[in-house]
This record gives sequence, C-alpha cells and structure tokens, in this order.
Amino acid sequence: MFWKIFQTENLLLCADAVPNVLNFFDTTVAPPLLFYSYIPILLITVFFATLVLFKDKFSFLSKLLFLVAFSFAMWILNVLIQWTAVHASVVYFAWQLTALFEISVYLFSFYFVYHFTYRAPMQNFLKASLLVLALPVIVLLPTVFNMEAFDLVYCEAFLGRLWDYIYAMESIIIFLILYLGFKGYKIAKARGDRKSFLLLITGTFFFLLTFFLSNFIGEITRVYEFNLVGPIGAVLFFTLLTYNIVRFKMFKLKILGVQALVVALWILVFGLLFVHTLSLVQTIVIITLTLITVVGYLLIRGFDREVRQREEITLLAHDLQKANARLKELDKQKTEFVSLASHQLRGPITAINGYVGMILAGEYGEVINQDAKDALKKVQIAGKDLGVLVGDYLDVTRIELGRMSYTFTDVSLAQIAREVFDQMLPVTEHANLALSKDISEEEIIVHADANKIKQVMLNLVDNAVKYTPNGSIVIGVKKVGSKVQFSVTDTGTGMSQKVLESIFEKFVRAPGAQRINSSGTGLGLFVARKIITEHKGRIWAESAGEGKGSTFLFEIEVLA
Amino acid sequence: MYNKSTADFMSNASIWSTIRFVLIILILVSVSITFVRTVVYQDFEMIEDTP
Repeated sequence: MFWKIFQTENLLLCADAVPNVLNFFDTTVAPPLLFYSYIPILLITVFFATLVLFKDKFSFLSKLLFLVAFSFAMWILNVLIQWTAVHASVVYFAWQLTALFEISVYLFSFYFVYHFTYRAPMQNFLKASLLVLALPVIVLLPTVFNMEAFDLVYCEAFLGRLWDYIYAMESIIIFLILYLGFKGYKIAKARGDRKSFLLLITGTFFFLLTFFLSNFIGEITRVYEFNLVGPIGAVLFFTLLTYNIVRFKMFKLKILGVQALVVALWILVFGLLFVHTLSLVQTIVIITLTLITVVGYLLIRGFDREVRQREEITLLAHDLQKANARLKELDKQKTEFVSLASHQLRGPITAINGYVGMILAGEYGEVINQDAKDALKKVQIAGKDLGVLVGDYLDVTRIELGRMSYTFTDVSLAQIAREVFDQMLPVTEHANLALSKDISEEEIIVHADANKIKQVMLNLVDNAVKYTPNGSIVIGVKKVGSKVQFSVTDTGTGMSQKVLESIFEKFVRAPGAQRINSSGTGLGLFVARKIITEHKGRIWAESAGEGKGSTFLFEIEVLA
Repeated sequence: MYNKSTADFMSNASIWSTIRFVLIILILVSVSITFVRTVVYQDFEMIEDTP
C-alpha cells in the first residue's frame, strides 16, 4: 500500500497545479515573499535554538526554547508544503498536521515562560492540565473534526470543529502568558532580572499574538496571505532573545548577537539572488537595513560596555598591584621588627636565665626558703620557654628575610643523635618517660650544619616529650639506600591524617595541643622543615591516629 | 479530585517518563493513521466547486 505514494500518477492534482520541482512542487503558485519570509526565519530559528542548546549545555530552559523553535520550524515547513505541493492528498495531509505543530508552539512557549519565571519545574497539576488540553488534538488529528473536506479548485482544506477548540486554547495560553508576566514581575524584580524578564514576556506575548491573529484572520477571510505576517512575530521574539543574551548574558552566551546577525545577513543577502522584481528587492533591503540598525545598535552598545568594563578592570588590576607591593613592603617591615625585637629580647632573657640558675646553684648563698626556691624554679622554666620562643621567632624571621646562615661540614649524623640522646635523657627521666635509642653503630657521614641538625633533632625529641603523657620514646638512626634516616617514635597523643598534612605549616598546631603544651608557638616544625629542606632532605610525620602515638622522621643524603 | 495520593502519584518521576512515552506513541499512531488515510487511501471528501 505504501508504494502508492511514490506512484504520483495515482494522486489527484490540484487544479491548475503544474509540478516544476521534483514532480512534487509548484513554486509558481506561492507568493514570492513566502520564500523570503519563511525560509530565512525557519533557518534562523533552528540555527539560533540549536546554538543556545549547545552553548547552554543542554540546560532545561534551552531545551524548552529548542522545542519552541523546532515546533515553529516544523509549522513553517508544513505551511511551505501546503503552498507548494501539487497533489491534493499531500496538501491535505499537511493541512491536517498543522494542528499538531501549532499547539506544540503554544504549549512549549507557555512552559518556557513558566520555567523562566519560576526557575523551577512546572507543577505536576499544571503539567497534567496542559497534557489534557493537547489530547483532543492528538486523538482527533485523523478525523473530520480536524479537516472536513478539501477544495480541489483552490487547493485548500476546510477546517473542522476541532479548530474552534484550538483557537480557544491558543487564546487562553496567550492570556496565561500575560498573567504570568504580571505575576512573575515581582519575582523577577526580587531576583534582579526584571528587564530581562519583561523582554522575554513581551517577546513571547507578541510572537504568539501575531502568530494567532495572522492564522485566525487568514482562516476567517480565507485570504492565506495573512499567514505571511505571522512569522514577523517570531523575528521579534528572537531579536528580543538576542538582546536578552547580549545585554543580560541569558543562556550564558555572549557573542551570540554577532553570530546571529552574521547568519541573518548572509541569509537575507543570499535570498536576493532569487528575487527578480524591484519592489521585492526594496522590501528585502528595508528588512535587512532594519535588522542591521536594531541588532547593530545593540551590539555596539554591548561592545562599548565591554570596553568600559575592561578599562575598569585594568585600573583595578593596577591598583591591586600597587596594594600588593605595599603589603609586601609592610610584611617585610613587620618581619624586620620581629627580628629586631626578638634579638633585643634574647639578651635580657639570657641574663635572667643565667642569674636564676646561679641563684639556684647557691652562687649567692643558699636559698633557704623552700617557697622562694619553688618560685625561682618556675622562673627558670618560664625563662627557658621564653628563650626557645624567641629563638623560634628569630629563626622564622631569618628564614623569611633569607638571612639564615648555614655552616656545612662533614659530620656523623649518628654521633649528633647520640649527643641528643644524652642531652634529653634527664628531661625524659624527669617526665617519667622511657627514652631508648636504636642508633646505627656505623658512623654515617653527611654534609650538614651540625648545629642546625641538632636543633631539629632536639625539637623533635622535645615535642615527643611534651606530647607523650606516659610511655616511651625511641630515637633511631639508620641508613636507607643512599640516605640516612633519623626518627623519633613515641607512644603519645598521636594525630589524625588531616593534622599530619598541615603540621609543618607556620603557626599550625594540632587540635588540643594548646591544652597539653601551652608555651608552643607552632613554629618549631616549620623551622625544622626549612632547615631540612636547605639540606636537600625530606621531613615528615606518621601516625596511626589520635591516641596511637606518632613518628617524626627526616632523611638526608649520605656523603658518598 | 486532586488529593494527596494523586499528588504523590504524579510526583513520581517514572510516571512522567511513562506518560511522555505513551504520548509520543500516541502522536506517532495518530500521524500514521492520518498519513495512511489521506495520502495512501485518499480517504477524504473532495469538493470541486467552492460553496
């Protein structure tokens, strides 16, 4: 049965129709302006909607716009077939399909505006209502309710009763869009896109209104040339959308205005090739000029704004650069000040510590009063803490000013570790901790600053003492490949993975560290890392978690 | 008519995808019937004289 459609001789021809294209179409019947108004609009609509769809990464709003454009394009294509096809059944089929495309344009437009207004999916009840509205059209499409009969002489169909329903539905949707415009105005104002919203509502409203009126009047009068006016509304719709995009960056597009204008101009000029009468040429030139004037003006304004913004950004960047330089200078001054202050503080602290030590040692006679002795011991401890603190600050300022000096010599790391062990043994005993060593017997020689390395080791062991309430500490030195590894393992408070990652940063202390060791500054490990880095080594910490102890390690290259 | 259970039923995403599927099928069937009746069988009233 389907092959019948290819046997065109079986199909009835409309009166006076002479097929001149593909044995299917007669282009002489249609008004020449049809091709000039419909084809460019069809191309622009589809191009525009596809571009928005891809550039806006298939957002829901862009999908809806695409559906509006696609339905409209199908409607235009369908009308072109109605005008140009020569076979009665084909023309009649096209007439029958009109209903489907037409309601799609309205329903999707409404959905589009709804979504733009509320920025949320449509309420289910409303969605179901739209569906119910569309159902009669879909179901009655093949019946006489849609198209009653076909006039072979004029090659036109007679609309059925369904079209009363369709026109009623279309006018309801137009009013609903107007209603959405009033209702959504406040929402858009609160959201800050009032102008963009107004343009979109106006565009959609006039698009659907011109579309509706041209179809309706064309139908009543049966002068179908009225239909040609309809798509002008679409031009307005898409022009306003373009303006929206250029001005308000809708759909995350920026340059779309330029692309749209170029394509539109190309199509308009290309169209001139197919027009032969002077009056038509004039009409086309007027359309083209209007388009250039409107879109061009918008683009130039948009471009001006861009240029101004760029100038402002350049000025801001310049100011920021100046502010940055000033901040750097201030930072340097601050470091210098801390350096100077720390340096000045060191002298008095040394004096305090020295004299307190001498008093306690009985150099100035025996301190008989036990309370006075306890108080002096507290002063001694606080003095030592202060000394360490000032030392840390001084180290940090030296590092930041690049004034940390190193004296590299060939030294035995194991020997330094043993010295550290001996030095820290009384401290651990006092803290009731078991200090042991696992230091390689072999003398492992490294090229390093012995004092600085010792400082790092002391710092690590001192930390272990402070953060181990009870248990043991092990100092280890072993050769690992071409490197020597120093480690301090304790059974102390341990730390989480998160703390492990940041523990060597400046002023970073583990949560709860303040409670355990109130005199800590969070600078010791920062200084240690800087020193080890200067030795081209690596320092890190390991812990199985809070309360599970920790190991601090560093390794540096062994001298070959 | 539009009570809570209806609301629950309609807020189900799979219900909407089913409805969409049925709708597309319905449109395709409707268009196919139109095509077969009109183009293949030319089953429609033709008038030679415009009233």
